[in-house]
Amino acid sequence: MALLKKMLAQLGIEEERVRLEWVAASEPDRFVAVVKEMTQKVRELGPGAPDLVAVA
Amino acid sequence: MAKLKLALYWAAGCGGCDVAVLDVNEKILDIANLADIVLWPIALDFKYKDVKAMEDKSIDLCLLNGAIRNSEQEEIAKMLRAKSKVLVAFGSCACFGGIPALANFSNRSEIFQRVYVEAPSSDNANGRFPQTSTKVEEGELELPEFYDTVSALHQVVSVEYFVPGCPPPVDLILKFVDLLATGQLPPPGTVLGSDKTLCDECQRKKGEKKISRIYRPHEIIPVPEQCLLEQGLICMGPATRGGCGQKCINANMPCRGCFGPPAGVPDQGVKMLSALASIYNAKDEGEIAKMVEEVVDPAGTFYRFGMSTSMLKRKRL
Repeated sequence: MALLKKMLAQLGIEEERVRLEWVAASEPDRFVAVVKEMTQKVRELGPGAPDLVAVA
Repeated sequence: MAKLKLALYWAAGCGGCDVAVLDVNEKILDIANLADIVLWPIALDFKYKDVKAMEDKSIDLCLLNGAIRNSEQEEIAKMLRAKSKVLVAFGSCACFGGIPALANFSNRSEIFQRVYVEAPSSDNANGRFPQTSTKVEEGELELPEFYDTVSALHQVVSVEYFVPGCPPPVDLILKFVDLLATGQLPPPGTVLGSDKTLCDECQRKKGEKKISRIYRPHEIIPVPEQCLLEQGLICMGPATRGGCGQKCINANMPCRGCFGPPAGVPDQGVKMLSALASIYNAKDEGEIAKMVEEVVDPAGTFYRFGMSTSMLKRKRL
C-alpha cells in the first residue's frame, strides 16, 4: 500500500483517495463507519483532475 | 504472384525499430523479393503526396513504429491506416507508448518550459515557443501541434497486429514476415510473442522469493544463474510477456518490461508492484518505509514502456 501510494502520487492521484482497511464480519458498525468516512473524504476532495487523454 | 506493397513509418520513436528491420541482414533480400517498398522515411526518399495519391487498401503491409505525440504523426497514421490492408504496431512505442510516453508524467506546457526555457543549453530570453502557425513575409509557416499526451497507435487508429519489443527482436520480425508470406497470419488483434510471462520462460534457478533489499542495476553484479528478482533487482519478468529471446536476462541485466503486459493482464505496472510487494520481507512499518525508499521511481520503473496503455494513461494534472 505504501509503495502504491508513492506510485499514485507520481501519477497525480491524492493519497486520501486510496485506503485499505481490514474489517471483520463481526464488525458491522466499523464497516459502516469506514464506508461513511471514505465517501465523505472523497466528496470533500471533489472530482479528480480533468482527463487530458483526448487528443485533438 | 504480384509483389506485396510494403510501407514502413516512424512516429515518436528513436529509429531503433527501423534499424531492427535492417538487422535481419541478408534476409532483407528475401523481404525485397517479397515486397516493393512504397514508403520508408529513414531509408528511402518517397513523398507523402505519392502515398496520399494511392488508392485505399493498396498497401499490403504497413509496419508503423513510434508512438503518436503530435498532429503530423496522427495524420500520417490515419492516412496509412486508410491505405493499408494490414497495419502493424511495430515496437514498444507503437504498442504501448514506450519511452516517449514517459512524457505523460508531464504535459506540453511543462515540457516546453523545460526544453525552451530552463534547459542550460537554451538561450531564449524572449520566451519564444514553437507555434503551429507563424506568419512571415513569404507567407504562413506551419508546425505540427504537440499534444499533451502520448498515445499508442491503436488508441488513434485500428491496428491488426502488435509486434512488441524495444526494438522487436529479429527472430520475431522474420517470424512475422514468414507468416505473412505463407498466408498464415493469426487473427487480427494478436500480439506476436509468447502467451507466457518472461518468468515462465526464464532458465535461471528460482528458489524462495524473499528479499530484504532492492538494488538498482549499477549497485551490484548479480550471480549469472540465479533469479535476478531473488537477488534484489527489479526484474519485470513476472509482469511482462515472454517471447523476446531474453537478451537482457542472458546479459545478466534485469527485464525492463518492453514486451508489455502478458495476455490477460490489463495493467503491467500494478501487476509488477503487487509482485514486488509480495516478495519483500518487511515485518514492520520501518521496513516498509525502507522498501518504499529503495524503489526510487516506482511509476517510471513499472510503466517504463507502458504509460499510454496503463489504466491511468497519464499523470493527472
